[in-house]
Amino acid sequence: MEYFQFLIILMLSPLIQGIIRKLKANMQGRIGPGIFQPYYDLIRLLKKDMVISGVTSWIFKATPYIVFASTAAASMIVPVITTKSPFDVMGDVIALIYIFALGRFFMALSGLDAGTAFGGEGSSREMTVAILVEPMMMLSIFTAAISAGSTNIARIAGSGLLFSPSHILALSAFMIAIIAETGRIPVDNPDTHLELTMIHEGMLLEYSGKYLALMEWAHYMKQMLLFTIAVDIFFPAGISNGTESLALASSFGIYIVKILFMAGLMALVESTRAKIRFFQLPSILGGAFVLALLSLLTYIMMSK
Amino acid sequence: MIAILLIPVITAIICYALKNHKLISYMSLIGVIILAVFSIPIITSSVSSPIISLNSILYMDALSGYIMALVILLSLASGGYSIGYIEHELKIGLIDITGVRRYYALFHLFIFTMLLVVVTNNLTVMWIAIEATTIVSALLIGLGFTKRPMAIEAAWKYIILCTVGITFALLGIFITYYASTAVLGTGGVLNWTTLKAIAGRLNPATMKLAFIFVLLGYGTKAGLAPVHNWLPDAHSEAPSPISALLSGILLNTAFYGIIRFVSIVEPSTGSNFTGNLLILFGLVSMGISSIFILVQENYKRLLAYSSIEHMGIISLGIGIGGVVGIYGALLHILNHAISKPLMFFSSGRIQAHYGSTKIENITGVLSSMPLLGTLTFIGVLSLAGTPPFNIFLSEFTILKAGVDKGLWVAVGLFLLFAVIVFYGMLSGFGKMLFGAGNAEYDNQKIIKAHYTGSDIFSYTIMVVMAVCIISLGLTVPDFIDGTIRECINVLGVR
Amino acid sequence: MKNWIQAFSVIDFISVGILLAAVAMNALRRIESCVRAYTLNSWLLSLLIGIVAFMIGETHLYIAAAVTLLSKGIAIPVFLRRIVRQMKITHDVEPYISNALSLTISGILVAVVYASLKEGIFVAGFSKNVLQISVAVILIGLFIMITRRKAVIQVIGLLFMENGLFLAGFSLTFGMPTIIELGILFDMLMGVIILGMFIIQIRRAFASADLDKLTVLKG
Repeated sequence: MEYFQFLIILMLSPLIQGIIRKLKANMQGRIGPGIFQPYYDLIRLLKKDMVISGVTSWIFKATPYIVFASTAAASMIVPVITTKSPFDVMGDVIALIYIFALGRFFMALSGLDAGTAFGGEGSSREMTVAILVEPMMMLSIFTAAISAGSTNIARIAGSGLLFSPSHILALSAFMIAIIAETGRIPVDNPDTHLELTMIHEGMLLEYSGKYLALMEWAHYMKQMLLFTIAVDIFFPAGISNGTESLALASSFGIYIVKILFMAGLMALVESTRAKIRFFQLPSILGGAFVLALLSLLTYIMMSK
Repeated sequence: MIAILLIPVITAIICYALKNHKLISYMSLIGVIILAVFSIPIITSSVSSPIISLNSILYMDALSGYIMALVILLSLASGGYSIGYIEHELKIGLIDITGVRRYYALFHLFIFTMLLVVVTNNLTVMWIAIEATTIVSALLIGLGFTKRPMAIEAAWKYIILCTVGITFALLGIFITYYASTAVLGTGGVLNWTTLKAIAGRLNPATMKLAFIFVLLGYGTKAGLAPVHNWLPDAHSEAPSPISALLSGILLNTAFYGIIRFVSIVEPSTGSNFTGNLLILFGLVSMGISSIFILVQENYKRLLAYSSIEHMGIISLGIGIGGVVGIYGALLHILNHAISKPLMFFSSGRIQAHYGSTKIENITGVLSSMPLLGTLTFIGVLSLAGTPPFNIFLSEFTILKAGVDKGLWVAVGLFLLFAVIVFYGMLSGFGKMLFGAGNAEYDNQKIIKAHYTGSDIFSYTIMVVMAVCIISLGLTVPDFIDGTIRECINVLGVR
Repeated sequence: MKNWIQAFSVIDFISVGILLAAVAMNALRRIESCVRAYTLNSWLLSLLIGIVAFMIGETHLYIAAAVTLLSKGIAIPVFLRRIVRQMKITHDVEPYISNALSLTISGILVAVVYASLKEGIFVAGFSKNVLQISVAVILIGLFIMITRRKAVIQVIGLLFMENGLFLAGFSLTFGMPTIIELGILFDMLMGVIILGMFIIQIRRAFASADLDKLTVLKG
């Protein structure tokens, strides 16, 4: 069972996306599509033919596989319902962030590859955001890592509930990082293809059919993965440390509750905030960076 | 002692309540005279033995007495000079009657806050008083505000910079309190007398930190470079009598705080630490101000930079330390407190006459107004440190202390800066004093030639000050000498 | 209750909150928000004093907390709001440095303070961290004063410095004698009121509340 905990992320991630959309719709007074809509979308896309621009190179074709594979690989090293992961030795946060970076790198390349204006725009914006977000993510994870004495996620998750000012700060920074990484309001708007504002969608604009399905799916997985990391690091309570099926079942239940909570939070943030201009992003992300920095400093100082 | 504190407050209230400007100005003068009369016995008795009253919140020893005497003398001079000055301002419409009431009320409150600085025994009360001097004097600077934007600018810079600086001083005081807690076991103390008694046992590292903060904080207020930026603006934009008070005595009250603190800090950290810091601050102040004096085009600002220079010299004197160094510094405080106000008074006259503060617009003061010109000339020579005037004597004393201690670098720099200042002062004011009088201005002068009563009064004050400058240059009278020696005794310098 | 406060390190949380309110100033452009950040800062400060008073059972600290709340938490913010409304300016446009840079520098400031006070010549009573935080707040306040153009925000920076100072004094001394504390507060209150008067005068004289206009005097 413990070999297959990544399947939870693989299979349930479209559902989480559906739930967020539904919640958002409800909060905005709309009915919205059903929570299984992302599955239907993926199935529909997988059945469709692809249109591929003639000017693209192999990068364009390889990218969907690389992105999907790297995200799936990342989800393998993250403990979902048990900290006893078979891929324990690889479960390092730094490695994880680099795996993400690999996917992002190729996505940005593919955006440039098609040679369209919007793709390039999306890529350059994505990289700008990445420059701001990645160090902040690392810093906030480091706070937790230092207190657990390890950069191994399973080890961090296994070290129990952490409650101190520095962890709250790190958590706030991490939440902002999640918003930026998943391309949600106020950083990016996932529901629009309005050319002037899009970041993530800009890079996917040239994709269609199967490739688009893979890219979208990878995106859903990344989102759920980030939720899972947040939950693992900051609210590890309830996660199983063994592999007995009963413990795993309860752990699964608790996990679902926590993830739903995160989904609700995201929907709330998206419904209550307005998208900010791209040029204001550095000030929000810079603020989050300072939060992360402060959390580390506060931790070092208070742990004396 | 409480009476001394109450007199200015009462005078302030009366001045604000009155409606006639002549009445207000005489009331103000009577107020300062009464203050002076009442203070004489207290000051003389404080010199011989310290007075403690009001639950040991108030405390006066020779040093407090010395500075208090200066405060009161200058209030007397400045209060007298104000009458003519304000009359003139009123005549040319720079302020109205409400402004006059406010001016005199604030003037006396200002005196009150400065007196409070010197008579309190408690470091925090002293801090409160010093902060209060900032607030009151900022209002005095910005008095004519709606008509002179520059004065608002000056007042704003002044209050912001000084408040920020002094915030650090409070931090230093808190740290001192903390250090005293560690020594006494129970709650800490802030009384100067108690702290002095336990000074040797305070934690040196803590006290070093405290001293740095206090020096930075009170140093801002005392106009030490590099935290002096407010000073030239405030001193040049303030009304002349207030400039005289600011420069002649307010800086010294802030310095008084530093001197008190040095005597607490020194026993635990050793005199090298405090001395070197003070010497450093002093030399930097002298260096920066000497350069600005050289290139200055505005004579009031020139005087303000000269204040920075002299504060630097005082800081140097205290930093060099020893009986001779402190003696020189205290004597210098006195000398500067006489010469600088004289210069501000006379420059106020010049400004009123020529309507300009630019050096280039003014020539031939000596030929068109011989008396004023002579007084200004005496003041300039004194401030530039020319023998045989008073400031030369105290500068020489400090220099001698430096030589005795073998601080050759400091002495060399001191001499260099003193020469630059000498040149800068004389060339700046030389252009104004000498040369042919401007015919146009002279005609105006003939029209205004009849001096009013208040003018004569102002000139009398200035002449008395000039006489003091000359006589103090020849010899230090026994009572001043005795007081300063008593001050050194109180500070525990050997 | 006391155990509860200790177990959840409430004091640490509040002091970090105080720091955050100061750091947040760097990112705020709306003057209203700046006033709000200051208000929050003051409330947290008085809450902290109140909690410490409760922990060690000192009556005069309760008084200090109440006075802090009344003056810094209520009176000064109300006064500042009035000025802001009178000035009819809402934003600090064109700051000297960008938000992100400002935030980063303040983060570095905090790091420097933590690093330099880490060895510590101080063994303060109730929390070893409060002194560092207070010094950091003082420096951030100073930094805000240096980098902002609007007079009101400079005043707010000054007020932040004073809050930090209060916190420092409090952590070092467990509160001064009440009468002294009242004196300091009164002094500060007067200072703020007079600064407020000057702000309005500046506005009238220079037809702007930007301090850039104050460049007549130099050299």
